[in-house]
Amino acid sequence: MSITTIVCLPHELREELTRIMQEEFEVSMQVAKEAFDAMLEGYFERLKKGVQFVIEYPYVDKVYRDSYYAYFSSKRRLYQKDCIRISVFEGEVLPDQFRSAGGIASLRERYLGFMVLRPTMPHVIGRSVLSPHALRQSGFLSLTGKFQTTVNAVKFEAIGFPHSSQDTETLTCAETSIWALMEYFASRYSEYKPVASSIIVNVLRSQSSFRQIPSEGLTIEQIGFALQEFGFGTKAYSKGRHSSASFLNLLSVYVESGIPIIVAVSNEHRGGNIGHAMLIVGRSEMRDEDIDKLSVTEAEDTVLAAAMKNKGVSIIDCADVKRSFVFIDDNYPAYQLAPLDAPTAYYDDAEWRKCEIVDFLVPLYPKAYLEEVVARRYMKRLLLGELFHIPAGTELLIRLFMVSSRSYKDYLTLETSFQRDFKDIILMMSMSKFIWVGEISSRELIKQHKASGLIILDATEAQVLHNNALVVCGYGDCCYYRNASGKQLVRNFLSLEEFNVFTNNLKGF
Amino acid sequence: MPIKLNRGEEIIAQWEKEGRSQVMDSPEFLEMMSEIGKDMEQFRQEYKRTVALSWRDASKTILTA
Repeated sequence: MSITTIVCLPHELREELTRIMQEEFEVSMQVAKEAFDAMLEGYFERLKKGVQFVIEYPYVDKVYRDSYYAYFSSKRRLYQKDCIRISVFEGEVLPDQFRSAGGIASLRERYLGFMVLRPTMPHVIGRSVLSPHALRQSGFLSLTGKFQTTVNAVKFEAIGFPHSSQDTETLTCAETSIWALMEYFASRYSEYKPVASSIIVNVLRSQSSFRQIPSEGLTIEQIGFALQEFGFGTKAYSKGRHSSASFLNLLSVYVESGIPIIVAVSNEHRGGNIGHAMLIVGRSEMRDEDIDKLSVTEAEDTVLAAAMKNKGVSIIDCADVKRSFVFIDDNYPAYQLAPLDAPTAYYDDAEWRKCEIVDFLVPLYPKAYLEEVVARRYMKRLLLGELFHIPAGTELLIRLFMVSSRSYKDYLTLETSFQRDFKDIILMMSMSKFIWVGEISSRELIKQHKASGLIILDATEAQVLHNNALVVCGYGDCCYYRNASGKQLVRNFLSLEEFNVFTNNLKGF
Repeated sequence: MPIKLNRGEEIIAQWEKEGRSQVMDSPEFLEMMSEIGKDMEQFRQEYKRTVALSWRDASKTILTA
């Protein structure tokens, strides 16, 4: 058995792929064409002009093989076990380029990722990793992982967020969300491993009273259990227990923290019966008009509202900016953009467009104990206390995110705009693995991607009674840090000036 | 010869020497921080219940589509 490799242009793709699907998947031409038109055409239409494709078959895909051996091979009807892989390149691809050092270097620079077609008609889109730069649409930031792959026997690195359509039997939206999330984390951090559908089924066996395959979906509790088993300290948030504004603010802060989030969308509140899982992996880039539209609203929290009124200071959350977020939805190609209050805006079906985010799950580092809501409120309390001299009439904009102290310190080392002495003090400090960072800014400053104040909290310190979570803070003309024993705060009259905001969580702002 | 990289410590020592840094141990400051801490602890305890109920509500959602 040999591998066939075909280089083709976009306009040749339909004919080539339908022919190959017909042969490799042993389906009729009609079925192959229907699968292309229903599933693939929209996928390829989103790619920017000038891309070329390399089709390889038969291809052994580890994710489909897992489903095949665990499920499809147990059926009477014969399912093929091999797949087809399509690699995407920007610009011209010449066969000789794969056999010369210069040609390979050029191809690697222009490689935009791959997608796998599996023989689960018509839901043929299997594991895929496509760069956001492959799309015509731009102006958004997405989390990406790096995945080693090959094309025509040459090693390549695909950069993107993993995506797959559901096969509706071993993989529904819930399983694909877990799978994509674990693929991403495994590509970024050595402590996590990718999980195929059979592993998800095995992990949930003790939680299931009924047959697990064919999958009838999962509950949020089951997804949370699986993620907990895979090494996360998972948190779940339900819209019903938060105000709409604080629920979406909370979600937005976790996105800003560079954490992929599983969201549950549903139209049950409007009489429907849809329950669907998707991932949020990024957001649209910040625009000046988004900042201008941010309004000062009275804080829901009566203590904060009173403190702001007394001091004549208003604090706006950067997370309240109305913008689009990046969804990984197994019913659609990767990187769909939609606002949080209309998460299924890109669906054609009117019933689906009625869906709202009802719950979300955050796969946190297990020792990140300090709640986002508590961290956010604590920062505001500090700003509204007597630590800083903030004149009445001041409007502050606070941008909150979680980050590993390692990443934050790495950013600080090269951040020349940050006050040098204070920077060295922060770099010297022993910190927890994850920290909450609040950047204090203003509308005008944030438009320049700058801030002038900073609060760092220890994310492992859930106890706030004795202010132990406070690591360091600075705004205006003074900053605070802990003395050598860590027990007392020390104040120094030192202005942080303006510094560039941290952008490494989403690789942009 | 080994070189100790301790610019942060040197800066703090210099600030102390110049009298620019001040340990915040006045009763007024400690009282203010204590008040913030108590208020935050009360808020945290109340929010714990929201989180627990949130988890209970979310766990029922079935995702199949």
